[in-house]
Amino acid sequence: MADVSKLKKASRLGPPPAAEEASGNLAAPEIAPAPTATASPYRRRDMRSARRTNRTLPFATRVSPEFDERIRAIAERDGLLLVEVMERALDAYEAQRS
Amino acid sequence: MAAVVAFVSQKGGVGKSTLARALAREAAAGGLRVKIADLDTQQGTSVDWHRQRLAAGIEPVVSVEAFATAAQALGVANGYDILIIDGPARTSQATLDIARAANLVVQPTGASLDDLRPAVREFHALAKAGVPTARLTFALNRIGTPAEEADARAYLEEAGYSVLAGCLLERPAYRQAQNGGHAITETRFSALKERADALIQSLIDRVTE
Repeated sequence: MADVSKLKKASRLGPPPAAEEASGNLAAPEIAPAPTATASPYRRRDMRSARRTNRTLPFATRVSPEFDERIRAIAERDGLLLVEVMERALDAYEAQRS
Repeated sequence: MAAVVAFVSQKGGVGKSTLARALAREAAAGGLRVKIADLDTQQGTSVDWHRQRLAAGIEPVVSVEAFATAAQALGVANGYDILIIDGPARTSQATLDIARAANLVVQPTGASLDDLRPAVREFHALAKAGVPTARLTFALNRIGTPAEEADARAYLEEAGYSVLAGCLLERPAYRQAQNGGHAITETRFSALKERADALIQSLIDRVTE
């Protein structure tokens, strides 16, 4: 029987990709970049004062009746929130120390 | 200077780690100082396998280390007789660096067109970037039948690349061996072991050509 092994049989898989079809992956960075957020997620509008002023942390402490009386008197007299009096007191304290 | 053999692919699960471990096992059994550089830090499969192998007390001990970048891995090559690069499941700029430094770049592939086409495109890209095709070779893995092997081999050769002699069959025994920390050349099944040995031998022959 003749040896026909050197004759080429048509490939069942079809032709392989041509050289022009080289992949572009060699241009990719070695470390895959972490996915970046393309659009910032929807943030619902919220007009509550705590959000506007960023006063969002609970801050409970025990004080003497005298301290309570003093701070509330100042707040009432000057039309401030208790937190505003404390913020100003802290600012004044830091200014005095520097 | 160590011989550098790199296993690369744009896909996962084609057999990079499988072949890297088997080559490392055979090199270590032959008394060579060998290191597997596991570049897939996101998965670290060869590092896990190494831990399993150490825990099971399997000889010879094969050294495996994880590296974040190809440059770091290539930097330690001088301390070994053979540095085996187990690449990540994607190709990048680093693949080109690896290919330029390697004595042999092996791309394992399955026999489906879905595996073969992208595999050829990756080698086309390396060839286009100036890596000599003599340093690029394919290894056939997860083969079902001799006809499937022949078709895949013919396809890859037509594309202009060499294909290692022999192939790995799709067999659970290979997975079982590796699950237990063994290399595929250490499987209990002698016919499968012979096939794995033959493939690794043809790989070694190519490196030393």
